Amino acid sequence: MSVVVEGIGVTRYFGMGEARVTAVDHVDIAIESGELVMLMGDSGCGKTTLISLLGGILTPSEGKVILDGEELPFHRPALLPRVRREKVGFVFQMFHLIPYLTALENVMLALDIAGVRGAEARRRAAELLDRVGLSHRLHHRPAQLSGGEKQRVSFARALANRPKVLFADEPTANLDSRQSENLLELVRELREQHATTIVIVTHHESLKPHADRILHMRDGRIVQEERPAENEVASIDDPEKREYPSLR
Amino acid sequence: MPRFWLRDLYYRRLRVVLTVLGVALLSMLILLLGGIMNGLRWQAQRYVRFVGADAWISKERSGGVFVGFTLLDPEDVVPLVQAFGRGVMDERVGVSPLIFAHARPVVTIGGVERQVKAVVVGYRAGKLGGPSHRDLVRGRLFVPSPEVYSPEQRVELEAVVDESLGVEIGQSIEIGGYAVTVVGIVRDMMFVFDTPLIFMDIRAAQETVLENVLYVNTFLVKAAPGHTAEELVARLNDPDRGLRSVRAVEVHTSEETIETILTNYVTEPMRGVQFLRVMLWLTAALIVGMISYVTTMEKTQELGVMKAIGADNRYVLQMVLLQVLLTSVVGVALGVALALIAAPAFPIFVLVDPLEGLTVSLLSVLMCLLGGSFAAWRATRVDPMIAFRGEL
Ligand SMILES: Nc1ncnc2c1ncn2[C@@H]1O[C@H](COP(=O)(O)OP(=O)(O)OP(=O)(O)O)[C@@H](O)[C@H]1O
Ligand SMILES: [Mg+2]
Repeated sequence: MSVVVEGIGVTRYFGMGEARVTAVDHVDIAIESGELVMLMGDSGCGKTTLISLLGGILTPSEGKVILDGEELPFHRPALLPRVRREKVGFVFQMFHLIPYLTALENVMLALDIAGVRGAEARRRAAELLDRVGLSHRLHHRPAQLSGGEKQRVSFARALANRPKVLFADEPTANLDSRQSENLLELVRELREQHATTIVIVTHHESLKPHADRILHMRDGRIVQEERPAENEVASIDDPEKREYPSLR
Repeated sequence: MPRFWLRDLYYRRLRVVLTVLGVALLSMLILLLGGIMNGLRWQAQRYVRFVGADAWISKERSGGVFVGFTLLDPEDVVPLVQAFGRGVMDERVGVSPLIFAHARPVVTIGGVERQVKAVVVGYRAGKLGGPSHRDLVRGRLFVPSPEVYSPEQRVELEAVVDESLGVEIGQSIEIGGYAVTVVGIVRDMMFVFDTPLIFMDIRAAQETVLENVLYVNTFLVKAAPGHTAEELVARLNDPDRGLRSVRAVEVHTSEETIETILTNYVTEPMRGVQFLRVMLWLTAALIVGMISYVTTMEKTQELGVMKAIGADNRYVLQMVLLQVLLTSVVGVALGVALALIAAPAFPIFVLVDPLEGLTVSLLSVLMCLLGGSFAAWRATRVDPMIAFRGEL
């Protein structure tokens, strides 16, 4: 399997001098095509910061990110939006759907941004919403949808431009456990159908069985790696395990 | 097909409607102020154009009949004009004497006596300076006095007045203590600031406004066929061989005369109005700018999400500017409509010129876009991290 996202020495500081915070600290990470990776760790350990860096939303202080074979052009910020709309999909904790647009239009907006318009956009958006099981909610506005439904629309929007990798920041934080479970089932299906790589930040231990790999963060570093299927746990701090294949 | 920028406008429609109304009101004011100046400009030229003289002869350095004071003796000047103008001036019309005097006649309208502003124009029927019977809306011309003056000759005090004076044929108006009978009505015979003209025989004017002094204010001459106004004026004005070489006079074309009137009655006094217009434009830009800015600030979350999912600066810029453009175009269009409706109801003469209206509208839209462009620029600066973190 090939690597789609690779971070090399990715570091991000916030603030200056005394108040300087190292949110992400020299992280090396490689995510393989089609993988479903979960990112876990205590609040403030740098999960959100890391996926924003990998997705080309936030510029690293040090290190580089290679996405789909292309180094992200952080030195030329004007080029980043293209990468984001063509290669990356994002799902946010607070859904962030546009309130005055229907579910269908929210998905179409992502297509519009990428230059896909008219009947083609409508068809693709309807198809995506059908995939996430919302074909009966096309013309509802976010206010008329449940949390789970809103998050499904978010996933449909994130997948609209057929991204190589989808980053979701605590997508289940505002959902109950049954909704969360359903959403994860859906995410797995979507991954099969779209052959998309998915990175999910979550606090929900119960979702761990859905992941191929779980990365644990602490103080801006990835400190432990789990593979639930193989019942394998590798401590990154253990020098013996440094050779782990998916880590550099 | 949803146009997302339109949907956004619709979502915030109350604010959009208020902005449109604000812009409409301002552009209406801008247009009306322009209309007032246009009206003044029209009135400033109206009389001179109507007269159609080629040369206006007035006392040297007097400022001319419209903006200064000039008094000339016909017995002295007329023969000289005829002599110096020979060949270049139209002999059939000859030299037309003219009195043009601001007056405060007392008129009775609806049983109430009122002193009003007016200009008394004294001329000779058949010569330049006033209406012929063809120009009358109704009634007749005054009875002309004989060309040759005799002291015993009684002068008929009759007048042809502009309808805006509000008096009817047969009514009497009082000018300088004399009762003058209205015998005819003309239309659109006004001087600046809606001042109606009162036309009288030159002798009647001398009697009522000049205490019967046999002087006049100015003389008008027409160029002979085949000669231009400039030739005629150049001939008379020649300081060595023209009229000017023997008498302290100056001669101007109609165009020069109009220029003088415009400068003195429109351009200079209206500078404040022009300034006000510029202020109104700035206000329009400010209003649109402020509202778009506040709206953009309120939308940072949405803008951040759009940028996070790949919208580039062009997309965001286009969205905000299209919204500003639509809002201001609708506002300005409404303003034009309001101005057209309000113009006739205005207490002073307002002339809304369609071409000027168009330029003014374009300028107003441009100003609004300028105001909105700050908000648009601000929108491009929104950090997409907001999508992850909420308000930064
Ligand atoms: N813009 C910023 N300015 C200063 N510090 C920041 C900024 N963004 C993040 N941080 C800091 O960076 C660290 C990592 O933040 P991050 O949001 O990535 O953590 P997280 O793992 O996503 O936490 P949570 O689980 O609470 O969402 C925190 O200490 C946070 O305070
Ligand atoms: Mg977070």
